[in-house]
Amino acid sequence: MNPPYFRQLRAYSFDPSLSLRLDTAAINHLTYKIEWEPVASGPVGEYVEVIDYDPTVRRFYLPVDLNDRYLLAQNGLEPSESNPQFHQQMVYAVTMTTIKNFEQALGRKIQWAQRRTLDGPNYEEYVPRLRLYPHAMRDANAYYSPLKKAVLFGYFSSTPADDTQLMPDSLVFTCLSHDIIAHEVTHAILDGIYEHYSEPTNPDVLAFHEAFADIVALFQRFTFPEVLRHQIARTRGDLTSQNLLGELAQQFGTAIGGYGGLRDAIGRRDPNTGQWQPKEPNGDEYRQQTEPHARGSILVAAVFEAFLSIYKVRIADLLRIASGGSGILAQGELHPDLVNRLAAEAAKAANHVLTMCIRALDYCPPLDITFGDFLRALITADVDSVRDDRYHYRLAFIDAFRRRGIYPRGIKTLSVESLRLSVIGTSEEYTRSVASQEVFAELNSMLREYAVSIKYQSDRAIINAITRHFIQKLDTGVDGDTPGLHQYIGYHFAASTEFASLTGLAFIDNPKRVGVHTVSYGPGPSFQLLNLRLVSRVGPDGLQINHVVFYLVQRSGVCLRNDKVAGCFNLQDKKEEGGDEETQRMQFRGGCTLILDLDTMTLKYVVRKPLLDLEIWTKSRGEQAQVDAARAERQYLYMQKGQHQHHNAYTQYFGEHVQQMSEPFAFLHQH
Amino acid sequence: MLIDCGSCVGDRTEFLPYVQNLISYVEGKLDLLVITHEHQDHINGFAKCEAEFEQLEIGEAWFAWTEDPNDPDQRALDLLSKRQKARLGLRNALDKLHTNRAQIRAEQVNLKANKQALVALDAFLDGMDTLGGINLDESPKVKKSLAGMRAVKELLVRKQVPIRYLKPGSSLALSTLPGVCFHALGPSLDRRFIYAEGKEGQDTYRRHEVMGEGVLAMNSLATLGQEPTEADLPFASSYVVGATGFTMPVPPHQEQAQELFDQYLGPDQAWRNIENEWLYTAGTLAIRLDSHINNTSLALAVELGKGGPVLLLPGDAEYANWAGWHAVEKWKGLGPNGTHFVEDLLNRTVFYKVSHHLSFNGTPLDKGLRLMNSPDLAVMVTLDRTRISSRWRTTMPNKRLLQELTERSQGRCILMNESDLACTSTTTFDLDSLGEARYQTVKHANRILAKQYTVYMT
Repeated sequence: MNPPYFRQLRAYSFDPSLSLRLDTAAINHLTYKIEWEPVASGPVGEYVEVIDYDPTVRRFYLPVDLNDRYLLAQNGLEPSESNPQFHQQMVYAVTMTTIKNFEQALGRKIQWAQRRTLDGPNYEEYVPRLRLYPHAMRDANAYYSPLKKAVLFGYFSSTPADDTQLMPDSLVFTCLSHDIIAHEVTHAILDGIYEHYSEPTNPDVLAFHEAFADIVALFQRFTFPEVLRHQIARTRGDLTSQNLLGELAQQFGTAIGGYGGLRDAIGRRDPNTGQWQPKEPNGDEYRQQTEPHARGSILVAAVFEAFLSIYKVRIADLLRIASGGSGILAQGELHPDLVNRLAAEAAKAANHVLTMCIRALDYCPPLDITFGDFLRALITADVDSVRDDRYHYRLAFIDAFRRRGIYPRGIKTLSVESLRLSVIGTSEEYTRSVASQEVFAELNSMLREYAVSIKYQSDRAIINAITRHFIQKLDTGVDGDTPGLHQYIGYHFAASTEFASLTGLAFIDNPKRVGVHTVSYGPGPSFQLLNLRLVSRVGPDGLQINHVVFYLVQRSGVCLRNDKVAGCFNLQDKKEEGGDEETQRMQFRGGCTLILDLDTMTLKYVVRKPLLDLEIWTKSRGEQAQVDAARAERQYLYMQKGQHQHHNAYTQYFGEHVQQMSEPFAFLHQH
Repeated sequence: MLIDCGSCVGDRTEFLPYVQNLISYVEGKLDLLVITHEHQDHINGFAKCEAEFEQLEIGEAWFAWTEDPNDPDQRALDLLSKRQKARLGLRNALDKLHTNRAQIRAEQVNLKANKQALVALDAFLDGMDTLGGINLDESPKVKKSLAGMRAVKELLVRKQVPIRYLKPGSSLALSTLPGVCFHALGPSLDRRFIYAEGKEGQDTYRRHEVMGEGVLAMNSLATLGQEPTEADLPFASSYVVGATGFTMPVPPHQEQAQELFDQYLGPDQAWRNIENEWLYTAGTLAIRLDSHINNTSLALAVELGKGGPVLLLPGDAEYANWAGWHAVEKWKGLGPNGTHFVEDLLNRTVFYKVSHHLSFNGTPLDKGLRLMNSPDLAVMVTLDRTRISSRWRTTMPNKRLLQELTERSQGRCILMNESDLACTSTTTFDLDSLGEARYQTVKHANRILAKQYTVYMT
């Protein structure tokens, strides 16, 4: 007999606290449908391994065996706070749901970040499974550790502000919160795509990480029909009023002394009265707020507002039908059929928004991301896969970002056209240059081969091995003289004015003059080639895209004096960062994401964070190469000063880098 | 009158001259000894120079109610045992982290981008040592109170000095000082203020005064190295594999246990182990303990004649302690125009001993500093940055607070050592221009106590 398509597992749709409230108890137990995979007890599957070891008492808790006949017959263990095996089951169920949502939107298998070491073959190690520790510490926190490729969940005793909200001193497990699990797993997935997003080079980078994790957690709940119907009935279809769907981590928020959820995308509680009020956006927050979670919540609010606008447009006709044309609903409860229809529209809109956000990841720069970059990526990704924007999704996003004062740098007007990344392949310059067409056609045919070789692979380890081989061609014996992708680029563009202009990277002769060292096999600049992937997906109106995406990253040593760039240094000098009193040394990265279109055999988009000052470079026709001083200085100022503006006892006692040690992605930063 | 006696650096030899000088200055007799709270930097002098204090005559001694062994409501004892437990946990965590330091470093040393992580680790341990320095004794054994507190209490008992434990709202006088009234402002009896967090703002941090959240971690840290009992486990023992650590249990779990041990303890799995991560929780615990002890500070306002000028001596009170002053029930409406008496006292303050050495949350703005609007205000800070360990130097001073203080006092802001503090207004105002009757720095060879500011009773 063939295995079934799904494994059904029971778990909380929010967290245990909602099971104790009469109005929400009914919707808080949910059966998650997870794609079937063989699991060992733990559970340990293809993507994750749950290891329930509690270091605070040096004990293992018995692992759940999801293949147990009795458990299979009853969709897993019943939700329970006192049974650690249920905790394991819930962590597994929510994690797998999150992973599958990503894969569906991205159209490919996700991979965890590689483990980088100082020895071993090529200094990296494939990590097949994310490790999940449901009871890793006794603290009101949970975090993804990039070092251990693991998510550590904490548990703690609650100290509610008000004893009537939650039992004081009762145990709270972060691994039983859908939102916390989804949030932390998203950090891990994002780290697997863009490892440089953990470097806070501007105030948006870590905030983006937090925001994205919150966005996934929030919108994932819209895929639970019971929850959605319940909340739509309760708010009479008006999701802008206070509702559970806009709140994150209810139990956690209350347990550490707040009112309601830890974060709320649409409103806030008055700290004195505890009353809920809708949140009005303004531009000040984005200018002033620098703490990653708080800054991230601005982006979350923008995306949530875009969703609400889309939802309103989508249900306008339903409301008119239900109200005899007036659009104003009669008093009292909504008809269940109407609730169902509204819920279906909300689910659809939420799914679209989540998919748009996840897809946008393929169009982001590989480092130093800003919210504005994300908006451009979002618009471009959507234009690429949906031609006809009937419900004005893109406008809804642009509008929501505008209302919060979030604009991308370097665009002259604000519109879908100007926000969309320009298509290189059809640009005049590109079509005029025969040379670049040829090179990219050759590159494309290489990449086509690559695409064919992994298109039908479903084993993630094999996909990873093929990809690495394709980049590096380590065992040259087999492939004769064909170089790997890295070497191909290294040879062909070693000193190519055109490629340097295109990428903004130091593909110039003598790259050491901008602080970039050279590759071992020639005079060309050294660079990293990361995250090669095939993006192959079909849009809702049948539009198919076949892209290969990868990114290049280069690092240079920059010296600064009085906060101004004052030259470069060789990073391979042992002295690295630091410097004397007057001259500060800093590592500065540039990078670009290259998106190649396999159908037209052209380079389609370049999303770049230039290392070079492109204005000087272009003006001097490739004679003068200098690092992008403006961006380097911004980064320096932020890393030296801006980052530490928010006073915080924890960092004051334990140093500014303490968050880097173990928890750049903590659910809640210590403060 | 002597308030506290301690220093976070220096041994007996270094400390002795100050104590000898002090004793000769008061001619061997104190009318009143005030002990604000038990932090080492405030009272370890009594342990360092026990013999010298033995010779000192002491009229009476005042403590906060939190030190009262006979507190009728047991609240003081409850706090005391909580503190002891927290200290035990902190001590254990600190020892364990130091023992494991080499192993943690080795774990990271083979990884790229590890430099920051190693810097972070060192900084973290440095911070822990710093907090440990004033919250723990030097000896590894954790007792109910810290050495300085034990020493001073024993001393007072031996010398049969009358002791008073003050509750907020009480007002006292000394027969030797007619017309002068001592008002005890804090610590509050209300658990909301002993434990409570302040509101987040410019003058306070959140979350660190709440001990409750850390209770679980504290429990397991306090029993570190011991086999957990049923009560220490978050789940029923039937869910637990094996009776002790990593030893093999009996069937039916034997096979499963082996698998688990391999998964976690296997030779190529060491890099993913999480034996040390949870110990970092001790960082927040240490801050909480530190803040909590600061908030047990006995805060005094000394009123020089009814309606006269006020000296404000808050110990190391942090936000919650200050907030409690304003909630003292019996002083409600006793100020002019129906204001709270504490507000009145703050309005009349002409001398303020800055709380908690200019730290970030030592002086609240709205509940404290902004109410001190006397034109005669002078502030004195017990902070000498050449005599504190490096980690304190990042928390003290809070530059914005220093600036606010200097402005409010129109430059009459006195620090023990201002040499490395660049605050423009301190340098433009010459304290010596106040005249010797007001302000003296000690230039005589026989006087080593640093600075003197005189307030006159009107």
